[in-house]
Amino acid sequence: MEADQLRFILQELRFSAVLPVEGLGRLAEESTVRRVAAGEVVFRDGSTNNNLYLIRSGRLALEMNVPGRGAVRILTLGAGEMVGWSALLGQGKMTAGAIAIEDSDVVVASADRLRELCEADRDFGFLLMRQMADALSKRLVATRLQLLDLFADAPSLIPTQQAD
Amino acid sequence: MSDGYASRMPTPEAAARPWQTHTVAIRDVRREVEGVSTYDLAFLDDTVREAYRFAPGQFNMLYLPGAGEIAISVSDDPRNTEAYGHTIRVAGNVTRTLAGLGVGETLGLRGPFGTSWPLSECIGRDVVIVCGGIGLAPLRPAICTLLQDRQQFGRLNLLYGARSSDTLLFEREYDDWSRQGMDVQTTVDRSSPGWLGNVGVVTLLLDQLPSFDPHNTVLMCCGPEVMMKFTVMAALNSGLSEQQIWVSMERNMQCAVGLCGHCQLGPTFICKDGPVFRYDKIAPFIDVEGL
Repeated sequence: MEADQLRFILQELRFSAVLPVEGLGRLAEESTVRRVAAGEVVFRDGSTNNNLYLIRSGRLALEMNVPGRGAVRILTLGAGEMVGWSALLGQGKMTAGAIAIEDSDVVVASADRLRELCEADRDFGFLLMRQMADALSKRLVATRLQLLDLFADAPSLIPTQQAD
Repeated sequence: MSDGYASRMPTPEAAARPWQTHTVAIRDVRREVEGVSTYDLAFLDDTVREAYRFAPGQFNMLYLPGAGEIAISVSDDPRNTEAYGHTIRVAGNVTRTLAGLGVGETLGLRGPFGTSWPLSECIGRDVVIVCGGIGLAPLRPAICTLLQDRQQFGRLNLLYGARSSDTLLFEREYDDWSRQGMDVQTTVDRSSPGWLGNVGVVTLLLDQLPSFDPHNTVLMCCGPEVMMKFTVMAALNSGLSEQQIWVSMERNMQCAVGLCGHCQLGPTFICKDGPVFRYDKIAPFIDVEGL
């Protein structure tokens, strides 16, 4: 796929849409689009991965391996979402695995090259890392809400039907 | 715009005699999920049955002699006038007693009370419904009404979160709702083997929603208050204003007419001024500790 085509794709994805066109052009030059079939593993929990993935279409699931329970699905992500943040931070060992739960297209960018782009263009780097922080903060809040177990059978937590 | 769907006040009968309890019989009991059942309640008095109407989002007070009284939202299609579904989770003394009753047995009902979902404001606009757990029950009448007049509205999205896949309420109806023109997306907090749907909290679905116009959208939300708080934050970040967001609040409602004060939230009474509020009306009180 031509870099120009890829830049247009990146402009439409929620994660990258706010990045400046010039930076997107450079990002596009370092990226490819990959088709991932349903059930295909993108990267495994604990594996070394050096790519950042942006979901163009389809859905990926993040899974963590739990001894005795196998791969536990903890989050699903859809179009416009980012996967593989550990690689961008230079922590190539993945904290969770990613698997396609339907046929998906992902934009794949080398994390090493992205970090070099960030170093060379600090404004671009700031915006990219801000997007990363925004995505991770949403996942952190979502995880906290999951921890609260809001739909458990505690009467005081069920507002649509008061405890009697 | 006139409200062609429903009054947002109690019916004249309920307003005139808010303490009058009518006898209803259980026509049917449907188990929805573990600990949650829908009870179809029919008035024994024909005159009362013919006069009774509710608006989506309103609630009734159900009375079980010897056990007490409890506020329950009507979960039925408003077009059904023979019997009215109330989806109830066993959570305490009254609901436990109710769970022991079967078809043909009777209890008391007074209502309907409270405000309703703003369906007239949805005409010509996109509608996003975000709910969690048993919070889908008070929105089911609104969903039925939106789908009945489907052509009146823009894109309809239902985003529903539950604890796990076996606690998704009204799951047998999702295909019908989809066929009638509503995009239904579900998510669960905890996945189980074989579950191929979404995992994660429902607010993430709102972030991922591809097709709605934030400037021409009405968002209706019902669920645990913390869930609603973060849904509202996500909606505001998406470009909606507080005036486009409606939430259903709940407190300890006992009298249903704003006299006892048990359900007071700031200057409002949830039973009388709610349970459905435009968000800007209650936003100042949402984060006040102790309210």
